Amino acid sequence: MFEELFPFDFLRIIGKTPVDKINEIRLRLNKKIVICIGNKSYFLSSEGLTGNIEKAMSADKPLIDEIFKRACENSVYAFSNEIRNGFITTKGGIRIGLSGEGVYDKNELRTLKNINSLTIRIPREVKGCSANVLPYLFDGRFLNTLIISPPGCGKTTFIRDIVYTLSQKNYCYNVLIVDERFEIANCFNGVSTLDVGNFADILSGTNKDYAFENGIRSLRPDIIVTDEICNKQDYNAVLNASNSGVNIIASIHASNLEDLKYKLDFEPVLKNKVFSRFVVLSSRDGPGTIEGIYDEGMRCISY
Amino acid sequence: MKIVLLITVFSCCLAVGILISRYYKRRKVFYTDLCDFIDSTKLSISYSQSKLGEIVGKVKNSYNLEFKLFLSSFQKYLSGKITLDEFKMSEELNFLSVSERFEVIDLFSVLGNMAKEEEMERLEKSSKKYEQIKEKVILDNKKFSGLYLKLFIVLGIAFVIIFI
Repeated sequence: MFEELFPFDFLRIIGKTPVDKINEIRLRLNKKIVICIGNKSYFLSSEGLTGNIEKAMSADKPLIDEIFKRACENSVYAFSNEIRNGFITTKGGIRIGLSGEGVYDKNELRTLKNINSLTIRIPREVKGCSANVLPYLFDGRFLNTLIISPPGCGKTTFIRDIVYTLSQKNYCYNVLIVDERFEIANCFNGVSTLDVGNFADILSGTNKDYAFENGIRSLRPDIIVTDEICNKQDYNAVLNASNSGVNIIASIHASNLEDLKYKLDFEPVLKNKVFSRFVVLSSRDGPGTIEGIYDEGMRCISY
Repeated sequence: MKIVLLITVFSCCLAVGILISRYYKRRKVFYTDLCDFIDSTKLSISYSQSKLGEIVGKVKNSYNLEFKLFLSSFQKYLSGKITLDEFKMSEELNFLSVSERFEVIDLFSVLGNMAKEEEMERLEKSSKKYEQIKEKVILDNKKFSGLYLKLFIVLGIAFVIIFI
């Protein structure tokens, strides 16, 4: 998974850790390298994982630059939009969050330079993780569902599994995956590298506005699935789609239902009762812990 | 015995002539291909923002052996099969002087490291610079390639006449 991303020496050290369980690797310039497994964090030493900060390795500039360059497949210019948005998604769906210095041109962010930290998030297919929730998302028909959780609690994995499970259960819904950040299906050269079943059309790298409007017109979806709705444009796109007779599965960053009420511009979505089911996730017992399932009146129906 | 010696002397002169002539030809072919590669890379980046690996893979086989071998080595570097140091040590450019080799490898080792605008600007500068070098090596090839070949043939004949 990391062969093309990490330089050989670093790859060798990462190889001494339980690679298949890593959720996140955090590299901050001249700071200790942190590895997250489940909801625990460890440091990286030359011998593998350690809890001892004295033994921990630091991320130096050449390492960060090299990983950044490899993540961009040696073609930084081809990732301008992604860099502007603060992340790169690599082959295999690994998402790398970036921080550095913004470069502006006529009040418009053009790129980030002097990258000083990388947050490497590794996607996991957890097949069946949505199985307990799925029965609550039907009421004769599929219900519009919003997955709610803070970052890193498994929203994307959960959404992907809903799509996969629908396909496995032979519900022949035409699903349109609006995969703006290449995280749900992680298409590479047009081919989905993560399993989203047999009935999904995937629109990758397009903004939700465009994808919702054109997808509904041209792909005739029964369900639209999208990740991380976060601004007025996204909320409007969801609102418009729900008025077009298409069902929606979306996710949003929030700790609980209360937080939603305080989200700027989200009010019309709540007011119009766009979503009939709210699923709240946390990482209390590891990512994907189901805190509760709520109906359109925000009454808890299961937890 | 004498005839064998004469043939050997003449062959040696001819071989040296061919080697020198080939040196100029290889330089001409390399710089012509390099300029062409820079132009096609500029186009690919500007219109389709293709990734470097794709660009190299697509155009590699359309070039002459000198540049093709160099691009193969560059491809290995891009895919992480060899390190930057190994790429810098690659022997495909042994017909260039040390400083010329250093400049070409320097251009390739930083290729793709910048945002689109900066990348285009750098390629534009490199294009102008290598176009000038290309003109010069074409002229050198025209002037010296045939000249050295003829000179060493004449030298070979002269040796043969002297020894006869």
